[in-house]
Amino acid sequence: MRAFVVAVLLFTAGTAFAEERVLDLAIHAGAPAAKPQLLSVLQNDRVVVRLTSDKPVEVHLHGYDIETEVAPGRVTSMRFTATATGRFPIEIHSHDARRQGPLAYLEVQPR
Amino acid sequence: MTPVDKGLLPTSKFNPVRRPAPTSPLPGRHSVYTLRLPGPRAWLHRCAWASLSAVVAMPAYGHGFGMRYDLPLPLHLWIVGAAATVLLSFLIVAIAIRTHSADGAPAQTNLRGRPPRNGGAEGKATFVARVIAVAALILIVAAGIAGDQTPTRNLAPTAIWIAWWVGFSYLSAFVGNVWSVVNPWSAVFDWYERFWSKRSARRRATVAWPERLGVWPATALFLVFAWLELIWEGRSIPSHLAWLAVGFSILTWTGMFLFGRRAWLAHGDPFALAFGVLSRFGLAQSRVEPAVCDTCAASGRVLAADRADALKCDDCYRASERGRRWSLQPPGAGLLNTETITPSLVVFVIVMLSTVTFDGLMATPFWQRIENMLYAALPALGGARLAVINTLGLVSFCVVFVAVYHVIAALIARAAKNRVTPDAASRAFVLTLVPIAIAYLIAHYLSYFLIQGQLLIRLASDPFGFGWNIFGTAGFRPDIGIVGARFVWYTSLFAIVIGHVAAVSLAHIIALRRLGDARLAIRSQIPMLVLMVAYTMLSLWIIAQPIVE
Repeated sequence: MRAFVVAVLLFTAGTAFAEERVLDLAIHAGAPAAKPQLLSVLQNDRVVVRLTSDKPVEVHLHGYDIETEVAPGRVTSMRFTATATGRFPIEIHSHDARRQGPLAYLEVQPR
Repeated sequence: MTPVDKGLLPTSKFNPVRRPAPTSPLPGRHSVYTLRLPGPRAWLHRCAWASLSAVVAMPAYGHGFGMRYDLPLPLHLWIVGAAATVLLSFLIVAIAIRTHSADGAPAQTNLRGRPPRNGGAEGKATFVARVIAVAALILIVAAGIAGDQTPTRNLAPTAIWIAWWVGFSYLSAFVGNVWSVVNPWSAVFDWYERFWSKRSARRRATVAWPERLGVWPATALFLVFAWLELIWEGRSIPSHLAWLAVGFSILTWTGMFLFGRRAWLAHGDPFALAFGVLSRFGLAQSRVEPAVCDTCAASGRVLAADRADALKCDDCYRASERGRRWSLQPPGAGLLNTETITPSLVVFVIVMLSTVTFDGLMATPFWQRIENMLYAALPALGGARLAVINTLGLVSFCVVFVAVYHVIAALIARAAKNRVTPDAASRAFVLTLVPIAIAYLIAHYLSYFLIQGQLLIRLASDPFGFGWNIFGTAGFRPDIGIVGARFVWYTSLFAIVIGHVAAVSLAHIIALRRLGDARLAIRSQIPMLVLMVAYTMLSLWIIAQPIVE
């Protein structure tokens, strides 16, 4: 019981300041609509990446290794808790990904 | 608004249970993906995607294979690092002025020394280590050629770029020249020679290494290697790497056959030389008493420059069973041993250091801007533009480093009132830059090594990507949170400042030994100090840049 209380207290203390951070990314014709954006969040924040595209694409968040299919005409959300610090590119998977560069960088700063 | 579960890929970092979709503030249709436990189909899906993603979404350019996820060093730490660098540089000089005695330099102390085992010239432990290394080489080549061609599912890219190249760089720098013991190419040739010497007289090298060639062949090969590592697009394709290893084997054994094993290792083999340079910083050294080598060199077959370093000469090494020692020494002490440095080795060392720095520079927004500018300016080059731009960058970066270093050497000679020649100065001080390079290696590769290196746990179970699970670890997912950003920042900063202090101190000790006079030594070190501060600042600046590969 005591262990449970301690665990709950630790958990609340650890997440008390965690926020939800939202990033909107638009994809046009299978390419980023703008220059790579930078989303800087703090460790343990809850992150929501909302993706829209005018044609079906696959989007990949490196490091966390989350992939998602984005269908045209609706918002697709990638949601996760940013547990690991670092700088992670979010890329569109296509044959010319090499030249077009990433959609965005997610920077998870230590608390 | 129902959550549509499209089988989003499983990852260990997230809550693996399906969560109810939160109500969304957004108007319109939209779906929320949650994560689910990996079922067999999810795994198939994941593998299929992993293969595609690895091929398609390789970072444009950069070191070997895989990505670095480092956060840029924050501004306040950058300032602390820069200030410490400059302050400590002056502090060392101030201390040096106070203790101005010619032999105030700490002598190279052997903390512990005992002759290495001689039984059959190759101890049991060495033999076992060599057999493992040869087996690993065969496995890597076999996996590269026969295995799945997805970089992350095949042992070859991870084993070569991370375990071998980064791993042995670290081992060399912190432990000693482990590579010289386990080098599988050298081991195989050694066994071959022993086999023949049992049947007939010992085979002599056919050709003596031409003295004027120096280590130029190794320097050229190292540049080729750096190009393959940093610019070549096929660097993560398993079969390409495997065939390169086969080609390198043929080249190495031909070289060893023609010139003798140790002569080739000392002048033609870029890796033996590179790990050798780094290992001079390391704690353990195997060394031959110079007296042994002097008597042996009477045969005239050994280059004058190699005499003090009998490890380069088979005959000396064999003749030296009593004079051979394994010793522990303070880190960096091996870099004070500058008698064996030739002008071509100076260039080799500088090329090596500059390629490491260029690796980091390539991932900065600064380089990306140059790349984009040249990309727009050179449409005539077509599809190969990026490779051409980066190749030019790599080569000119090396040329600039070598040129700057030689200018500094000339300034040292002038500051020392020509008591040393520029050539002698360049040979005497080149190794003192190695600690700064090692510090940068830590900052640059630490989290990459610890994160991407975890792939080996998975690949050990399934080296060919055939779906095996030998050790039950085939499902292992790398933990990207294994080291936090803060740990990496402080380690990097500490390493860079300590590396700088080591470099400045070593250079000062060498100057004292060479010039004898404390005032002159300090005067002569001003150009070197400027170079070292600039080099350290470059390292700090690069790790404070966001990675944009």
